[in-house]
Amino acid sequence: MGQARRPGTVGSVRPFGRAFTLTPRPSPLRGRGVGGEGLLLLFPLLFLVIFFYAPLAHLLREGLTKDGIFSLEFIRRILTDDYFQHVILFTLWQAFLSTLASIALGLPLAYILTHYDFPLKRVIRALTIVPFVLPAITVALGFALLFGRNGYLNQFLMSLFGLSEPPLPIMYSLTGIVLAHAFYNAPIITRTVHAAWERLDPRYEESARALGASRFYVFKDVTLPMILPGLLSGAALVFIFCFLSFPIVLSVGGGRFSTIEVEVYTRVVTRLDPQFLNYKIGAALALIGLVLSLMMTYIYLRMQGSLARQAEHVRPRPTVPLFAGVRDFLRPTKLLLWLYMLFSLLVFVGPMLAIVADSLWEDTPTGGRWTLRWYSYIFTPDYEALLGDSPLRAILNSLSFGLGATAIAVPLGLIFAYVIARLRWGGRRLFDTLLMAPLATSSIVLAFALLRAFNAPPFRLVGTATAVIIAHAVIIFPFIVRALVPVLENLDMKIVEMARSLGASRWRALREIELPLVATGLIAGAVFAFALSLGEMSATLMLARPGLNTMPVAVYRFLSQHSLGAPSAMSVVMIVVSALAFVVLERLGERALKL
Amino acid sequence: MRVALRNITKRFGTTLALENISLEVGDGELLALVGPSGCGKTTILRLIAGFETPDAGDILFNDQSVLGVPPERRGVGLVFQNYALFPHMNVFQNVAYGLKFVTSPLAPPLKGEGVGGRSCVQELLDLVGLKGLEHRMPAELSAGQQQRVALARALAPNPKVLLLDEPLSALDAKLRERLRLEIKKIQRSLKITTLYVTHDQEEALAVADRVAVMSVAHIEQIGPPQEVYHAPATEFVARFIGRGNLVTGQIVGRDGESLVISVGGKMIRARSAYGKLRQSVTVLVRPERIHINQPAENILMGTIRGIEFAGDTLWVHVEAAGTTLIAKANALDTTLHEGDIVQVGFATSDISLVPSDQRSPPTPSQEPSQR
Repeated sequence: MGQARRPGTVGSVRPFGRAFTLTPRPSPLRGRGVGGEGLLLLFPLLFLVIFFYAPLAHLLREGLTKDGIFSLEFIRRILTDDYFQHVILFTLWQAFLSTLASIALGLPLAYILTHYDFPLKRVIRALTIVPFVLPAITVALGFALLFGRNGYLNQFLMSLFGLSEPPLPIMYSLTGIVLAHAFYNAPIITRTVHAAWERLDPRYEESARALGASRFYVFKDVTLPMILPGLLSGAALVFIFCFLSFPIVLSVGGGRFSTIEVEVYTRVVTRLDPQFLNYKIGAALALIGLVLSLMMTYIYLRMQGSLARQAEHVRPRPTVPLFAGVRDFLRPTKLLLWLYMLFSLLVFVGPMLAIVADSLWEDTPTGGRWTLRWYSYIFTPDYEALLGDSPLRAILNSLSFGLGATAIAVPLGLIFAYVIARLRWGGRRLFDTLLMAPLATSSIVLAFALLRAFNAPPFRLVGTATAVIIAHAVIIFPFIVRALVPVLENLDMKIVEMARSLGASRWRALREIELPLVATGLIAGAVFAFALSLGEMSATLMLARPGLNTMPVAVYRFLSQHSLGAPSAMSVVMIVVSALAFVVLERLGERALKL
Repeated sequence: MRVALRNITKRFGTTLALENISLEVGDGELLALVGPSGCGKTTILRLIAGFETPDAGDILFNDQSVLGVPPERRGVGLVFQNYALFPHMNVFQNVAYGLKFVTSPLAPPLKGEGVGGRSCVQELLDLVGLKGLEHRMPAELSAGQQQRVALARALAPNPKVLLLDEPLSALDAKLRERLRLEIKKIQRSLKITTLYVTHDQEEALAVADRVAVMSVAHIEQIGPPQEVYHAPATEFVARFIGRGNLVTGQIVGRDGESLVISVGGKMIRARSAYGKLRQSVTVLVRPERIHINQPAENILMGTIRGIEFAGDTLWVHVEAAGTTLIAKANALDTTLHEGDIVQVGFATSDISLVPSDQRSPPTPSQEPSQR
């Protein structure tokens, strides 16, 4: 697709009109609509087929055959086994509880953001994007440090009341898992509900009030039904995330709680298995989990689709100051609000502060002292037995894997998103469906499938960095596409047609008109992709061999050996990188990205 | 129910939305509030409905202040431009919604209606011509039907005051004309005190018993449509209402009942009791009062610079007395051509003198400042 240099170009300003001739030019990118771009589409399609669908098919064969013949033996075995039944039910149960907790924690903030003005409102609203860029393992670590048996909270309460036992057994309990999930996912509820609420034209509520409805009836009859789709869609997303959650269940649950993900992981990494029975069982369990999450993802996407309908001119919602004098400060309803904010502060900010504090603290026989030791430790290339490698290696790996995966996923995602954005209904549904499976597949299941696929020709990649990079690219690919589609949809094709009618070739219009217009969205997408890759732990843990550890994996390995300090320092590094990503996303307008 | 606003002032932050506004709507009267967008007419509606509180002044329903009364107890019916039909309720549920709450002292319960006011809802749907659509959802209705549902819904709890905020602005021109007639008919038959906000002066003139013309934060003139049209109180009103020719001139003499005014060096006569010598005045002549090539008290010579064909009418642009006048001519008139030299004539009684606007110095204009 070379762009021929043309005569008649003046400096950097090259007028469209003049230099073009009427001679037909053979070009793969000619024609209207997606005809020409179709060829480019081959790249993301091949990528998906080779690194996602083929390995998945492999897994399907693994789970559905016995001695090479089709058999539902393993599926049946799982579904009739008490233990596995318990695992599946527990997975659903904890996801359900976590979703409820996320709603309870996220809903009030959505209300506050919609109805009140207060300092830092913009910042807090923007911060609701954080769960998308913050590595889950740092949340697990923060919870361990704050709520663990020897955590800050328990120690504080013990010294305060002179107790000999930690009063809050949150760590290694279902409560801990649910609370950590709520921390991680409540912002999603806040985002979706706040978005729906803000889009709700106050004239609906005003109409109801003029008809005689009191505030209570207005909320019950009008507001609630109209924001419910937003709430349900947010809840569905949270449910899926919690259903597929791995690092938090593994670390906060401390191995005492097995979900489908954790179970598949354990089966696969337990290599003392002469008959590969665990692989078979693991594959069958993974398939059951996949079917469930596919169903949920389908429901979620349908909900999202129905949300997109409303688009009208909305009168901005009136807001009142949150802080309106001392007397207002002490009103009972406001007191409830302060209580909520205090609790949110504990749950949201507490774990992060705990990590920072721990990263700067060193226990000594005489008590303890502040130190920068952990930071110098993680930046040295010395061998660490817990990792089978040096901590510095993990940091460098994280960065290079992130860059590699971004470099693969963003261009491919851009092409894919471009085609989706330009397609009409029928074709669009096909591509949306193609994307749904990778979206619904957990990192654990994907890594499992890749592990098997990379163990055979033509890709003998197990134990290589390439394998990890590819896994990351496949994981972030659907998110990139979903983030970029709205950006590309907002692009008015008439502008492109105008450029072409002025004489620009399809390729030149793409380069000089479309790409500059979507540049911001593209950069935001790339940053988002990098942040996702950086925080990815599950697939990496399964695929990584010594020398391929990343920061999240290193944090997990330290944490599982109850070695503190170093993982906190490393988590601070991750938090800083996430914060940078957050700032970039915020600056570029994260609202442009549909996450 | 009489509605009165007394010396209302309302600010939003630093912007003054309404400054010392007083307004009265008689029992059963339809008052149209008309003005350019952003002039504060919707704010007046929201104040009456109770969604905003004035910074100063009082709002009276039948001489009783309603300032402390929340919107749900004011007994007003409300129709928004976007209708705000509850999208999750069908037509019947939308219309019946207000009947759930009929307890307000300002809007006593309907007498003789069955439980849930079913017959009342049916009656209303009949009234607005939507019989048989009870089970449709708002999204399944055309824009015109949605508008009717919104009206029926507002009327259901038997409000004493009806507030219409640009009720027809989302509709196309033909439908607008039909529906404004129906709204007026319904309003007449129910004898309900109505405030009708619109930016469309033609609509205001067509529906209203009285028209209040607003400029930013002020009411310029209140009066019957004919008065506002023919005898605008200010230059703003003259420009805003109707198509008109506004020319500045100077009073140079008096001739019996008439004033002699110099416009662009030509003398014209206007019937007016007031006017000082050498005073600058703005002269308004409506296009339909200008006759081409016909005998008249005032005659100016001019050149036709353009002719617009508008179906039943020709709009003829004539350059005369240093300005361009628009005349309305019969479309069947085939004698007029661009470049023709013609006589433009008008009677002394067809000229209105408008006090020159202090705020904006008059400029010759062919068109009132209106879309």
